[in-house]
Amino acid sequence: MTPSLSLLAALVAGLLAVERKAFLQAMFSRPLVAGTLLGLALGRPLEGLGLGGALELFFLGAVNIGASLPDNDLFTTSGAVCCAGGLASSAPLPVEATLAVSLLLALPVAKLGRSVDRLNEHLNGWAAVHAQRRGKVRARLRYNLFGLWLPFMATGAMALGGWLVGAFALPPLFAEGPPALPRGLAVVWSAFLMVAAATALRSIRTLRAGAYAAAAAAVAAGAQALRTFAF
Amino acid sequence: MTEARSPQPTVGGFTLWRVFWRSLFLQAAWNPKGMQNLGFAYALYPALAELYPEPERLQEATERHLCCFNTHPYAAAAILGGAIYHEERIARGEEPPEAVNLFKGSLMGPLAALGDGFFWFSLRPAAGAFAALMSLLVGLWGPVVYLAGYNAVHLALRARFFVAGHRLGDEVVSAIAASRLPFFGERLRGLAAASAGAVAGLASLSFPRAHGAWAVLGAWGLFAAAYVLLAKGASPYALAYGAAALALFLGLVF
Repeated sequence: MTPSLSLLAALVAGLLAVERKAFLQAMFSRPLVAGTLLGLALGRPLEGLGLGGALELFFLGAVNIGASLPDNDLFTTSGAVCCAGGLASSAPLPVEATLAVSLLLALPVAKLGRSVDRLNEHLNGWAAVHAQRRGKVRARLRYNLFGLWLPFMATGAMALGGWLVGAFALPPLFAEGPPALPRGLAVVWSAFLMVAAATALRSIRTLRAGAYAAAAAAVAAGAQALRTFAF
Repeated sequence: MTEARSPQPTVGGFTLWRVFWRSLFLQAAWNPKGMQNLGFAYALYPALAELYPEPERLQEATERHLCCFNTHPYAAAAILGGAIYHEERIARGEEPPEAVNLFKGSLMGPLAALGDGFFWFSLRPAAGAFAALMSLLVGLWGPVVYLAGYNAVHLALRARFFVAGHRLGDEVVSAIAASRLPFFGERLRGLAAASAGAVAGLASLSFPRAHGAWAVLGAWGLFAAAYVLLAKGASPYALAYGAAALALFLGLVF
């Protein structure tokens, strides 16, 4: 993979960060969509889709209401997908192992992203104070667009950082690690999917969530098992 | 002095489009003190500039909208439409200038609650969980399903709220109530729960085949344990790393 693709992914991540809160909010920045778009930018759409789907469930309940800020799911998605893209192009590992290690490394950066969001709000407060000073009204109101920059830059940097870690820092570790490590990480990926599904279910505010989920889980697992063993 | 403005000042169709477009940047400068105040004034500015050609009146009208404002970003379209309705009346001298802020203040709380309940706690989880399930079944079409399903509802309602606010003013409340959002929200949350369960059902079969039926049982045990621990207030991050450590150990040993 050429570094230019990682720069393209950083640009895509920055634009998605703008869409996340400052503009439109049409859910392009949700993990499932953002992961796929970043994966496409890196030439690894299936890795992006896999990580995006898992993170979508994990962050299903992350909601920005009033002054409360959720953890920044896009920070994690950008870091994880770009790390997976870099790792996949540098080390021949099973896909599940690549996804698991990228996810484990990128999950905590959602907290860092939240701190960046908080900083941006304080900077916006400064912009709002400037907008209320005397002067041409039209020019003062343009301060509204000031808040687009920090999310763009910070998320782009996170994507680039994720790619650098995946492409350069991780491959030597796998080369020197135990041979069974990729197999173990494949189990980690499946385990994370179960935790993510439980987290998603827990975040849904309806009385019958458990009953709906149990019925659907039984039907889905039964249908898949029949398909696997009968055909 | 001769009045420069027309006797019946109203906002034209192109300006309404401009306000709607700029309303998509409502939260660009969200800040702890004024919240969406700057975004609201920024969105409304083309309409104010059309209604008040005189710089002093334009400045005065803009200042009115720089007071603290916060609501759901989609439902804000109804308040923006209603604010234009009131500003047209203020420009015609049919209402005092305070009327528009009374309108904003009385609607922003209820519309925030309605918008959060429907869009953030119902439509988005339903679209996300269903699309995650679809991505397991139809691959890259999953995100397409997400965007198409979510935005068909989101953009249609956002535009409808804006138009209703501008046409009906204070009566926009009854138009929004007629949308029966809480009723549809409850059904969407059921879809979200069923989708999350179906993902768990399919994911339980994704454990490496070499571990056989025990792996599937272990997956269900993990799902149930995670659900119970989350209900007791456990951190999702702690659970994710705990499950990963356990899975790594089992994957390496067996």
